[in-house]
Amino acid sequence: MLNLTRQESYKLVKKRSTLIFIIILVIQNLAFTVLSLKIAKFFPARFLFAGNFGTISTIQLITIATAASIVSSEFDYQTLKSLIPRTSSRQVILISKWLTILGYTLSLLLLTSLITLLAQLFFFQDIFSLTDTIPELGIPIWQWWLTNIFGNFVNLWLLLSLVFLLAALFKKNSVAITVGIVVYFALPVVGTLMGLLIHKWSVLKWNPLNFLNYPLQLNSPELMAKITNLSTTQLLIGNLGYTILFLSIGLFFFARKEA
Amino acid sequence: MENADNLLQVQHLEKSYGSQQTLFDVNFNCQTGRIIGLVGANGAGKTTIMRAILGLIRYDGTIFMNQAQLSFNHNQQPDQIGSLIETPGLYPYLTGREHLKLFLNPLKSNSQHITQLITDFRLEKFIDLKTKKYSLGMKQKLGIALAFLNQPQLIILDEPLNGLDAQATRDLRALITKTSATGVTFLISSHILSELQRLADDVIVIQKGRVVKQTTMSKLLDQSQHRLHLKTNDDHQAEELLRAAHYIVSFEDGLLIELTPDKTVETVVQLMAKHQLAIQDMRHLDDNLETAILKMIDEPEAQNA
Repeated sequence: MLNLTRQESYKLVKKRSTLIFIIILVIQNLAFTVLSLKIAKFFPARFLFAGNFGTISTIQLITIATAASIVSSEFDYQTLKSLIPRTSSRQVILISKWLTILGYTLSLLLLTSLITLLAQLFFFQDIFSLTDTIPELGIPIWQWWLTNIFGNFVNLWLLLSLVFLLAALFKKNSVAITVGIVVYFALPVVGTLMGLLIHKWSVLKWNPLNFLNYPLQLNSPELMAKITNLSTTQLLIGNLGYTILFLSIGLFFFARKEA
Repeated sequence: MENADNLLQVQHLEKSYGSQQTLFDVNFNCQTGRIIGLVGANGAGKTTIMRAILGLIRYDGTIFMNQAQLSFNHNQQPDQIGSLIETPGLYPYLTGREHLKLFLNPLKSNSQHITQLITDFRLEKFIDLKTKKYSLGMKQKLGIALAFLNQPQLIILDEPLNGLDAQATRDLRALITKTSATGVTFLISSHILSELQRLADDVIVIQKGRVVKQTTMSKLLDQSQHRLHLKTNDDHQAEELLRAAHYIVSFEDGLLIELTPDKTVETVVQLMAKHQLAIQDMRHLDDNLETAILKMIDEPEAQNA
């Protein structure tokens, strides 16, 4: 398993897109820092800070695409037939890919969080302090920032588990990427409608899309609880449950794939 | 049934794709250190057999390696089989050297082995290029080198000569022979039967998903047709003499005589000498693997009898 995860990480590092994505994230982080300094009215520093200067969303898109291609590229390049005789089972191959994407996600979050912290340290010390309290939430900025990162991370893995499942099912990364991104962007669009439907049929609160509200509910627990009909803890457990479920189904199908 | 010399045992192997059955009760053994040629027409089932051994496809029947049963999704002996199946599967964004490093198992091999493979397969000129820039031949060489990596006990090569030039073919033949001498077993399919004839110790003939014959190369060639092409100072008289002595003779720019265990070159020469016919030219004409296989495929029942 360790050797396979090392191999997957090696392949990921050697991909040109990996470097390009890192450059994009750094540029985005710095660009929003500058915008926040120059046009504070439209780009309020403390709000941008809480979202790592917009890079959390970009990381979500990047990792959706990467997770889809890390599985489907083995079918596209016909490399699965080389991997299988070298490993103890197909499950080990897929799990090593999960671990690689987990490491990748954490690395990107760590990188952008560090840049965000440095930006705050060097450019925004006079504008806000990490210990300042957010009046609407009653918590300090640093806590809001970490909560936001955590909530989005949990949410991202729910999406990634779906992407892994689809990539294992369809072999083509386009299907997995499309569904992952559509689901990601669909929530704000269908959110209101879903809230109304949940009010009418309570059982609908258990649908996986509702659990994507978790980061929002972390920031506005009372308001969002009325929409989701679930407590924040229930949303967290549901996110983890669905993530495990989707990953397990993906594993089941991947273990039966002929190469 | 169990033979310690048998590295690989394939028993009652069957495979169906939907309602289409492609393998029918395939049975054969591969002895340690032997080079086994798997031959048959397109669609005979050679690649399917190889895929089953590698656990790439589901199948019915049992396959043992080192007396341990192999299965579709549980590999007790990772890295014990090196393989090249159809086209080499390569990551276009990695160089050849990076591929070798990627799949190197530090418990079984080391970087010196990579250097040795690069030298043996003459990969030096392109090993540091990304594989998306490789020609078919380059890909094939790297694919075969990857099959040799980590010193596997069994190497399965499906049409390894595809895209290889004459020099590379000769190099590969030498490498396979050298590696086989160290106890590594090879299972090789190839349409280039002349190469397989020079390389393989054993032959398994597959036709329409069934094993038609498993034998050694020497036995197969011994059993095939041996003829003598003869020119004398009087071919017509020679023909009459040979026919009278119950030789099977045809006339084809000289005489074409079928040899049997009791009708040998020696008896032909004695007959000509007895009747004072001068031999002007004499050549031995043996069936090659291709002819032997084609005959077997045309008349499988006769061969099995």
